[in-house]
Amino acid sequence: MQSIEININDPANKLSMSDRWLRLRKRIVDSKELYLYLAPFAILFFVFTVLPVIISIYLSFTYYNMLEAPKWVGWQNYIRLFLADDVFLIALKNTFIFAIITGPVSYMASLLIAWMINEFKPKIRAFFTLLFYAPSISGNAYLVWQYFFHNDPYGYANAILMDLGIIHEPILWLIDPRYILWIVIIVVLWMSLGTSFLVFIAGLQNVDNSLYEAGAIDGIKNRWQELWYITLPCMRPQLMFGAIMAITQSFAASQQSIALAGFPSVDYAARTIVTHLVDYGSVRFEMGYAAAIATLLFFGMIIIQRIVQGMLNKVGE
Amino acid sequence: MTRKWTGKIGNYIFLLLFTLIMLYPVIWLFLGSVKANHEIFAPGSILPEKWMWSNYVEGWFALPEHSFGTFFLNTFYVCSLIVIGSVISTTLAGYAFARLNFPLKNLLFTILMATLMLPQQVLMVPRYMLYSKFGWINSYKPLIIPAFAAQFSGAFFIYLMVQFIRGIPRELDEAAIVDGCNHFRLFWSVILPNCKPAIISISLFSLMWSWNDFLNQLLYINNVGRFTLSLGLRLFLDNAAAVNWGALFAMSLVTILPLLIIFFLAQRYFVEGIAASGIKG
Repeated sequence: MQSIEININDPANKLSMSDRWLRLRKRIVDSKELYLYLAPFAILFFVFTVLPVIISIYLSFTYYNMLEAPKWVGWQNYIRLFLADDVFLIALKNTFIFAIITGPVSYMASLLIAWMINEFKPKIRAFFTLLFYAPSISGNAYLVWQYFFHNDPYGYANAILMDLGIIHEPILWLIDPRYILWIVIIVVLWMSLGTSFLVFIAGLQNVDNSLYEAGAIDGIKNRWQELWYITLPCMRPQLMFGAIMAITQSFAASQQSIALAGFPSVDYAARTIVTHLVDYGSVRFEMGYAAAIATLLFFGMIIIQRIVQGMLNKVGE
Repeated sequence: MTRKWTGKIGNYIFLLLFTLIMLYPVIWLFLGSVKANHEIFAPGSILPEKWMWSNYVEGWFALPEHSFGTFFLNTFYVCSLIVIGSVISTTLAGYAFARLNFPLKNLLFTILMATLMLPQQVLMVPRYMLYSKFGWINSYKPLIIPAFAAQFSGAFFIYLMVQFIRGIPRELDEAAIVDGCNHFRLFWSVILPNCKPAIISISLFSLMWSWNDFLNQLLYINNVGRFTLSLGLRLFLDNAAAVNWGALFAMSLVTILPLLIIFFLAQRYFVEGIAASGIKG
């Protein structure tokens, strides 16, 4: 994604270590004015992002309750996660079900809709963009779903299903463990045309039109071929970005689960890795354990990211 | 020609149907907000018998001691500072990464990009510890100050900014240097004015994300008088769910209205900011 230029012919790369250090130091001192531009960001970035990552990895090997000093316990937190914590395994399962459905579906939907509205005139396109983006701006409006899936016979979903005679007794949507997770998934899907959607729209507008003409000459037959061989390869960076967003969001989901299903949810039915993390981190104050969950989540996501990157490199082949 | 036409009509029909599904809850929310309680709960016509605009007034003052005015002011205060912080930090850093050459630049940029895939929740525990060490719990500081490091967006904003600035012709810089501009003048009077679309995109993103943020606000704000809209709404839901649904719907609509209006007005720049070389490999 980012390009790193290393000049092999640079004499600096051939010098001995101590010489290189001296040179580097001199160059750093020479450009101290330039560091001033970066300083406001770099300092805060280090304090609020890099430092927490390091602390988090360290804490995951300790027992720490915020009152006494952290006590080193080795791999014990990780062993406990997999062997002794049944709720974590539920959370893991829920998160995977959730991510495997919401991630790809919202990604494909964003791409498909962006592609469809790309053909319209700018005014109409802007109108549709607003309409589709509206649900994900309406973050706070998801409580309408609380009403849709209200537990008594007057809840909207219950009323309709009972009217149609499909069910005879109201379903306890947000209490019955069989339904909670699925309702959270529906609501998240409803809100899923978000940032990636906008990025895809932008990417589609960047595709050079002359490529389509060239493609037509080279024997592109239909719009699907056009999409696969021309459009998608041209917007690979946006696709990658969208994938990163989709993975991060679907694996880190917690907000909607807490808002809809309550915290903790009945029988942990809507427990995700992150709500588990919130529980240990800000309710039980077992910081070492919570840090182990966080570390696991981070490395898990890096692995999944790699796999998806590999898949995206195959686009257009 | 005809095939193309039918295809287009098919697209329209599909999109309109899809729009209807997507917007149905929002429309329903609006109609619910002007219904009396008994009507919301009675199955029947989707349109209200009597338009109860009083729900809006009732909802506004529904919570004892604090009206939604307080929550609005709090949210405006927090979000505007977050937006300002994000814009300052990302334009400066974007400029440095895009235009200046200094040792360790690539290393720093690589570390930054690695955090693009770091979910904010992973850092919750150490951040919470850090903030409680600083004595920041139950204040807006954990929300605002990290925004100056573009915390809520991770590396996304910087990335957007770097790509955008790279798209500005270098000739402009050179002309300015010939005219005797130093780095800061160059940044201030050449780069910044040319970055407007990117700055607008960043402002809007950070506004929307901080406005809708629930988890961070829940963690760090405990005092009802300091509650933001997301928290106020949640409190309303917990307190008053059984009492007046119409008023609750009214308030949830009122809280998203400013965002919808702002997005609608700024939409053109928004996409432009991302599109004009916004995200490229």
